[in-house]
Amino acid sequence: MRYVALVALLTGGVVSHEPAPSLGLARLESADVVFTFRVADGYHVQANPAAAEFLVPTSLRLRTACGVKAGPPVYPAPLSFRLEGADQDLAVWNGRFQVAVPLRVGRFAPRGECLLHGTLAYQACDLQRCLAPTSLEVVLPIRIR
Amino acid sequence: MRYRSMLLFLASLVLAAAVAPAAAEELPAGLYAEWIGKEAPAFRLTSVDGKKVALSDYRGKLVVIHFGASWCPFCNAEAPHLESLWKTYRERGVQVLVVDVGEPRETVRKWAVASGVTFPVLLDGDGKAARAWAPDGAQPDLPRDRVVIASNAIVDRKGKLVFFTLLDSARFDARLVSLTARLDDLLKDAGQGPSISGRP
Repeated sequence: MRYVALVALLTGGVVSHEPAPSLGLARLESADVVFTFRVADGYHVQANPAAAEFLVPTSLRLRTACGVKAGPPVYPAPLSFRLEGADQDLAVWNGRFQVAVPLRVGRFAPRGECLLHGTLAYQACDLQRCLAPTSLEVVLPIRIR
Repeated sequence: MRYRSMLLFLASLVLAAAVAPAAAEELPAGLYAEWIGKEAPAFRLTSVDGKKVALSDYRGKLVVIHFGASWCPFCNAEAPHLESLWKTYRERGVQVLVVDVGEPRETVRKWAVASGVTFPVLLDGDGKAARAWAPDGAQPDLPRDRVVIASNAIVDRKGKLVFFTLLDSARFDARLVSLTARLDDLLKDAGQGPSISGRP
């Protein structure tokens, strides 16, 4: 079962997300949660994997809490972006992109409400500048049955 | 008389149309013309291999400076071309420097090794040099030490700026075509002629 986390603008950030509606899961249940992010107009972020070793790939990490474990995120296919005169394409995302994360609720997870916290790390550029690597906090409310 | 004026006016229009696009194309992308001719802001930094390096150490040379960071895609795209430029021009009184902004030594050292650059890579860990090079009013919403990331400069033999571009990724010049052309002009002015091996 896939749940879609919707998106909202976060003041001041180049990348924004909207907190997901509360997700209900039973003990031992697995589900994929889909986080939707939006890159501000005119900007792009490095995809995952990034095109070169030292570029900062956009990566989502959810921290284990309340007996809920997150698996490796599944990232979307990148767009190719060629810098004028560069020898190779960059792999980027712009506009709206989604990252799916598999979750599994443990056998002894406490019943009730829980907040799963995570971080989206990214590095963005627009047509005039490249911003330093930064991150966005994400929160996923879960109700464990 | 009126007929002659009309002809002159039409001729000037034709001339302007012919010259204007060429003139616009000659301007390097992101050129920060207000600083051309000014004294280049001084710096004294440590290189990744631990040497103290001041801009003034290179007085009498043409100094090509690139401000960058390992995470910057534009800087990474330029790196092989900076190295190529360094190899082509180093024997002709040209020094290439990269000033890495805001990163720890080990990160920069790894980047320098992986990128295969052989010119000095200087550490501006606290961004002080980068702030001094950020023109007032340029990209005012950015932290001042980030304004010059991916910019290029040429400092002449007397320490004056003769070329200075901020990032313009819409007309990004990874191959350093404009900078190399300016370098060739400066070497020609000094009687050293254009690059024998061609522009990198």
